[in-house]
Amino acid sequence: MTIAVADPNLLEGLAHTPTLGPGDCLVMRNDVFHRTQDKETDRLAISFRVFGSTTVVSRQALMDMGSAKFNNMARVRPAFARRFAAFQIAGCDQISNVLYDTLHDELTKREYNLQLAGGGTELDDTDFEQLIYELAQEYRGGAFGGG
Amino acid sequence: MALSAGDSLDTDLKVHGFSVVSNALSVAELHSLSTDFESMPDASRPPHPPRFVSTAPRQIIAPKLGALVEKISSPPRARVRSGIYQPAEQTAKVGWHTGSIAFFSFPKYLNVWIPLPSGSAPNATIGVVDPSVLRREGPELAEIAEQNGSLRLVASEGKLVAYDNFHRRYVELPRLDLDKLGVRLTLNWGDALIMRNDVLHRSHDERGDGLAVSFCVVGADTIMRRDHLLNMGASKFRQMAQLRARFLREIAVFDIAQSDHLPLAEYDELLAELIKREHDALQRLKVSQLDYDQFDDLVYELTNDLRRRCSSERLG
Repeated sequence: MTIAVADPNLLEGLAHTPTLGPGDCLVMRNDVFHRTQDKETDRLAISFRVFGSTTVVSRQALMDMGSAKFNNMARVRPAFARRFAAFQIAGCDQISNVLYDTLHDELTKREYNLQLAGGGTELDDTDFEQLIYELAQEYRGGAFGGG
Repeated sequence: MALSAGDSLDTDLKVHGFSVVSNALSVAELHSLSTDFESMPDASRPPHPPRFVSTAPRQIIAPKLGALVEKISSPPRARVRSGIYQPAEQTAKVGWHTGSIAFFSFPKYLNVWIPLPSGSAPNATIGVVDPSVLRREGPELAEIAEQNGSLRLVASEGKLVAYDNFHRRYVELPRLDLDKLGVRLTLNWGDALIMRNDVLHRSHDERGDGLAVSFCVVGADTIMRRDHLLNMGASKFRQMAQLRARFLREIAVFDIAQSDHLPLAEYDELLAELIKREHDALQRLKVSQLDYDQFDDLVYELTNDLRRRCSSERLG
């Protein structure tokens, strides 16, 4: 859904512009509008996302999307394919953030190793599906806290 | 099994899930498809992006296939969608499967599979499993196949593993000798195999130099649903993201209509308009691809235009 606001400069009038030096960091909630004001510099920033350790990740949240979200997800296709795969490995539509990270990292490692063994080419769909199934079996057998 | 078009084919589709139509396409039509495929960039290395039939041969062949399907199946009004080339060097590895990426958009469709003269083979072979036989011999797999238009089976020790897209789970099934349950069909050049999207099939091209094209045909009364398009696991996401531009537009149509379900005709109308405006924007901006903001702007503009049109129609 697209929402139009009457005054396109509404946010400019409401905004603060904190000045940060090298080594400073800005911590903000995910619902805070922000934009760069560095229009004439070539500075670089890095952004880390921090979640609560008890956060539950749901497949439905991943699947709820419009075209803009899909466009962004498709840009980093391998990363989001692994995120979907984490739910398949756990055999569950809702998993803890910790398990999600564990499964995601293990899949990333194995996929990378298989790619290296295959001369650097991306896994095809059949091999990727096979890898997910193997991990799902291991999880069901007690690996990664499963069982 | 080679039959001529007629009532028996309708029965075949309903009861056995597939029919073979002899001489569906002419030599010239087959040649236009082969030439089209050969003109495309090589995609023999993973991740094998699908190659779709270009507009020109599609415009010639689609009406013919539509008429053919209308003649032998119900619902009578058919719409021919994309055609995807299927080189055996890629499909042979897949093993037994149902449908294709067409299922991502359409829960129910017919797959018209046409082998194209390629390599040294005098004809083409493909294995299919009659759903009525599968229901008898492997009812659990038959049920999963009915619910999964893009089912892939993963071989495992002593087991057959199906990824159930519908319920998003792996299902381990007792080993089933699908090669024994299936029938191996031999098609001559120009013949077409028409099968329902729940029919398990596999390539039997041992040489791996064969080529086929597969067209998706849907009923004109199809309702397009956002939840069907977006119900996905890792493999579906992977394939959709590989075809980002295509699926981006498909999702955007729902955004433009501000609706989660649309009749196919309305959906197609919006999709065609989006493609046209995207093309115009590319020309105007002199770029090869719209960036995220440009695409969002386009979707927003179309959403507003549609809203205005609906308002004026209500007032008028």
